[in-house]
Amino acid sequence: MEIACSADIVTARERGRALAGSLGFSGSDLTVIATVISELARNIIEYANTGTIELEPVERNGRPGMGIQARDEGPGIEDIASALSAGAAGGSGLGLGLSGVRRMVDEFEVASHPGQGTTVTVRKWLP
Amino acid sequence: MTAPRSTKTALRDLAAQYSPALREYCAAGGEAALHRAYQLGRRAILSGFGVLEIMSLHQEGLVAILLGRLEHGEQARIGRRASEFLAECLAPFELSRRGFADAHAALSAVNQGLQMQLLEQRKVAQVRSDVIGTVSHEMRTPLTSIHGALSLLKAGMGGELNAHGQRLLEVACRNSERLVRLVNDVLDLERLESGTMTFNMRPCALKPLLEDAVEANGAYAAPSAVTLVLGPVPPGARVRVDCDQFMQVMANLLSNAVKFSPAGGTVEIEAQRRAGRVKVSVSDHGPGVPPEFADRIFQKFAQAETTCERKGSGLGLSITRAILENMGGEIGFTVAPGLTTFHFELPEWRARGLARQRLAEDDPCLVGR
Repeated sequence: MEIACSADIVTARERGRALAGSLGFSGSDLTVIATVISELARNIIEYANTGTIELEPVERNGRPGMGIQARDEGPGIEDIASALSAGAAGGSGLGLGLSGVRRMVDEFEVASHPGQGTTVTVRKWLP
Repeated sequence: MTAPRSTKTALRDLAAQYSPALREYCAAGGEAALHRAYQLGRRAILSGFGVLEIMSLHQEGLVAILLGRLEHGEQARIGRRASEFLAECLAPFELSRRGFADAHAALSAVNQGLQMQLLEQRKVAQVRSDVIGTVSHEMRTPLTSIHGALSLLKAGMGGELNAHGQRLLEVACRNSERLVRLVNDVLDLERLESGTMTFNMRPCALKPLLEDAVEANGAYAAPSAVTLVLGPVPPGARVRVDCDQFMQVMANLLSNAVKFSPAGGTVEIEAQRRAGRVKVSVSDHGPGVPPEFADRIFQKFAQAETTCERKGSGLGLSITRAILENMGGEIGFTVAPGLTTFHFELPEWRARGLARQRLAEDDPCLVGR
C-alpha cells in the first residue's frame, strides 16, 4: 500500500494490527508491530516523501510470523552502518528511527544505494 | 528542581493533546487515536520527557473521563482502552530504552578496556618512577664521596702530581661534578613529577627576586664576559612562589642564556604585567633554537644536536617547566634572528585591604630587602 501522508500511516498500522492479530499475535506484540510500521512509514515520508509498505504473513519451519517491507525511491542511505547506530541523526540519538526498528524485530534487512532508494525488510515471529 | 518555562509550556501542550486523544479512543476506539498516542510518546521523548510525565498526563486524562461516565459496564471498557492507549504512547520509550541499553553495553566495553589500559599505564609509571628514585638516591652517596675525594686530591692533599696527572684529575673532577648535577636533576624531576616536591609558597615582591637572581648568576656569566642586564620591573608586582624554586627557574634560564651567548654579549631580563599575570623574559643573542628541536625542547634529556658542549643533564628546561607549572605558571619561548627569548608567566599576587597591610608587615619577603 501507498504511503504518502499521516492518514496512510494510520491505515497501514490498522492493517498490520489486523493481520498480526489474525496470525495469533496479541498484547504488547501488536503494539510493537504498529510501532515498527509507524517508524518505517515515518522514514518514508521524511526522507522520500512517498513509498510503499507491504504486509504479508510469513512462515518458517511451521512457525508463523509477520513480514513487513518498506520501499521507497528516495535518496537512499549512504552509510547504512551509521544510520543504524544508536546515535543516528534521524533518531536524535535516542534510539528512535531505523535503529529502533531493528531492536524491535527478529529479522532486519536494509538494501539501499545512494540515489536508488531504500528497501527495509523485517520479520517478527510469533512467540 | 523546577522545570524551565519552555519545558512547562511543552508539557502543557502535550497534556492539551493527550486528554482529547485518550477520550476519543476510550469512546470510539480506532487506529487514528492510537497513532496519535504513538506520536505523542515520540514527541515527549524528543522534548526530554520521561514515562513519569506520561503517567501523570494519563492519570489526569483518565480521571476526567471517569468522572463524567458512571454507566454500568462502561468503566471496564474505558479501563481497557486507556491501557491500550497508554501502551502505544509508551512504545517509543521502549525503542529508546533498547537503544540506550545497546549504546550502554558498547560504551561499557570500551570503558572497561580504557580503565584497564590506564591502570596498566599507572603501574608502569609507578615502577619506572620507583626505579629512577631508588637508583638515583643510591648513586648519590658514593658519588658525593668520589667527588669529595677528587676535590681533595685536586687541592693537593695527596701531594704534588705531575702535569699529566693534574690534567687527568681535572677531567675526573669535572665529570664527577657533572654526574652529581645529573643525579640531582633526575631526583628533582622525579619529585616534581610525582608531586612529592614541597613548595613553600609565599607572596614575594618580584623586583628583589629578579635582582637576587641576576646577582647570584653573575659569577657564572663572568668567565665568558657576558653581562646580565635587568630591565624595568613593574612597580609593586608580586608573585606567590617558593623563593628557592623561583631562583632555580631563574638560574636554569640565565645559565642557558649565558651558555649560548657570544663572548662579551648581554643577556636581558625583563618583566611585564599582563592581564592579571606577570611575564618574565630572558633574552640572549645566541644562535637560537634549531626549528627541528623546537617542539621537544622541554622534553626530558632533550639537547639539540648542535649543542657543541653537552654540559648539562638535558633536564634543565623540563625541571624549569615542571616547577613553573607547580606554581601555577607556564613557560614558552620565541626565536627571532639574533634574539632568543625564554619567557614564563605567573599569576600576579594581589592582597586585598587589611590582608595586604598585615602581610606587608609580617613578611619581609613581600616588602623586599
